[in-house]
Amino acid sequence: MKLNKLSAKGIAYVIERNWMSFRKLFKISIFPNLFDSILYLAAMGFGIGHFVGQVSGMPYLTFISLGLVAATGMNAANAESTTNAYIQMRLDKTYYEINTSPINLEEIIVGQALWAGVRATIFGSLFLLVTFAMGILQSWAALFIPIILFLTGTLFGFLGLTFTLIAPTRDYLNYYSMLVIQPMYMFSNTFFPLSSVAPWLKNLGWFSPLTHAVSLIRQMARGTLRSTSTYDFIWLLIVIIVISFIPQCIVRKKLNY
Amino acid sequence: MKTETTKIYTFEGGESKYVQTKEGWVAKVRFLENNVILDVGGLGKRYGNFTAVKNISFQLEKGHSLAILGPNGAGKSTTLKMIYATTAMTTGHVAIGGINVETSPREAKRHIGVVMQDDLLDTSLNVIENMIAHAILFDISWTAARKKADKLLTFVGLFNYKTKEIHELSGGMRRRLVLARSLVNDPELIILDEPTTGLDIQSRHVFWNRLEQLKKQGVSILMTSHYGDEIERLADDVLIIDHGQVIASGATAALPEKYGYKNIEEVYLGLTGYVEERDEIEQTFG
Repeated sequence: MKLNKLSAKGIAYVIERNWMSFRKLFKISIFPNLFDSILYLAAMGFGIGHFVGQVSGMPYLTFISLGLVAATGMNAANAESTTNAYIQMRLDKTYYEINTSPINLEEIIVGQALWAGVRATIFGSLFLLVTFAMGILQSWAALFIPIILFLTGTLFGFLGLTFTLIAPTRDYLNYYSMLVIQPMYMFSNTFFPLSSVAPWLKNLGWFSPLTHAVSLIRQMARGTLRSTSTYDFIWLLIVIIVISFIPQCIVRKKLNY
Repeated sequence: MKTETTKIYTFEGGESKYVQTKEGWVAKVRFLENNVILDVGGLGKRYGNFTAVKNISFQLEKGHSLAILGPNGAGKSTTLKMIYATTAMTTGHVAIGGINVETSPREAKRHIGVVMQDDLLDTSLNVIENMIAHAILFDISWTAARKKADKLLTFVGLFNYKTKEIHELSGGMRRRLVLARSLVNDPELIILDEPTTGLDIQSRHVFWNRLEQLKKQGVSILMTSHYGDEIERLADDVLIIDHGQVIASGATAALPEKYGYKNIEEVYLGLTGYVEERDEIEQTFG
C-alpha cells in the first residue's frame, strides 16, 4: 500500500486547527480530564495509602501520585483519539472538510495523534502541578516529564485512532476502553508494583506502554534516573514509530466519504 | 541526453498530453492554451461489482459554468468527489488548470474551492473562526486569513454575524458561510454539490446572486443540482447523468430545443423516463 507523502506544514496546520477549538473549551475540559485521577488520588492515595507503608522505596502516596501523572496523560490522549476523533471522523466529518484542502488524510491522522500528545502534556502537566503542590517532586529532572507525557499521549493517540477507524459504531469504542485502556490503567505499575503480581501478569504488564511511561516519570520526579531508563524511552519511541503506520495505512480505506 | 516521458490519455472528444516532472504528471499545452480550467476524461468509479460512474468526459473553460443534473444515486456526488480528490478514481483522469489530480492532489486542491452537500462547519468555532481554520490549511497566515475572512463575509452578507456561533445561523446563512469558506484560497474553480438544497426561495436567490458575481469575476463553476431553474440561471452547459453515465449534454439554452421539450427540467424528466410515466398516469386517472 502506498502512503501519501507527509508534509510537516500540513501536520502543523491540523494541530493548529485543533488548538483553535481546544482553547475555547479548555476551561470546561479541565474538570473531566482531571476528575478521575483526583478521585483515585483521594480514595487510594490518601485513603488506602494511610494503611500502606513504603512501596518500591517510597511512600504509597508518592508512588500512586506519580503513576497517576502518566495515567492522566494516557486518559486525555485516549479521549481525544477515540470519542473526539470519532465525532470528527463520522459525525461532524471535520476530516472530510479538511481533506478538501491540500491536507491529505495521512497528515490529518498524524496531526491528530500529535494533538493527542499535546493534550496529554497539558492535562498530565496540570496533575504534575498537583504533585508539586504536595511536595512530591524531588528533582529538577521533573521538568522534563512533559516530554514523556507528550510521547505517551502520541502513542495512545495512534493506538486510539486505529481503533476509532475500525470501530463500526461509537459503541464499539467502549470495548476498546474496557478491554485495552482500563487493564493498562490498572496493571502498568500505576497503583501497585508489578513485582508483586504473578510472573505472567508482570510480563504482560511490560508490554503496556503506560508501564514504561510510569517508570520514567517516577524516576524523573525522584531523581533516580539510571542508564536502564534509556530502554523505557527507546521502547516508547519504537512503539510510536511502529504503530503510527497502522492508522495511516487504513485511513483511506476506512474513511470513504 | 535526457528523454522526456510523456503519457497520452485519450477519451471521447479528444486527448490530453502529460509530461512527467519532479512534481508528478503535469498536463501540457492543451488546457492553458484552450483556456480550459477543468479537464475530465473517461472518469469512472467502481465499488466491487457495482459501477457508480462510467466513462464521464467533459471540459470546463475559465469563467464558465457547468451543471450536472441527475436523480439521487446517479453518481453526481461521486463524480465531484473524484474531481476534488477525496475519492480515488477507478479509471480516467482529471486535470485542474493542467495539474493531474490523481498524481498531484495537493497542488490541484490549491486551485479549487469546495461547497459540499452538507455544511460541515465546526460547531466549536464561531463564524470567523471557521473561516480562519480553513484558511490556515491553505498556508495563509492568521493576519491575511482574518482580512480575507472579513472581505468574504462581507461578500456573502455575513460580516455582522462574524462573531456568532454556528448554531445561531439560519440554514441559508450557513450555506453562505460555506460558500465564503470555499473562497479563502481565491480558487479559480468552485465545485458545489447541491448548494441550495433545502433552502427557502429568498436564500436561494441570494446564493445564486453571489455565484453570478463570482462568475463575472472569472471564477469557473462546476455544480450538481436537482433544480431546473437553478441550472437555467447559473449554468452555461449541462450534463445529465443517470446510472453513472452521461445521457445528454450541451448548452443549457440549446438542450430543450434539441430534445423537443420546454425546459431543462422537462428534458431531464423526459430522458430519465418520468414524462412518459406521468402522461400514462394522467391518461389513466384523468
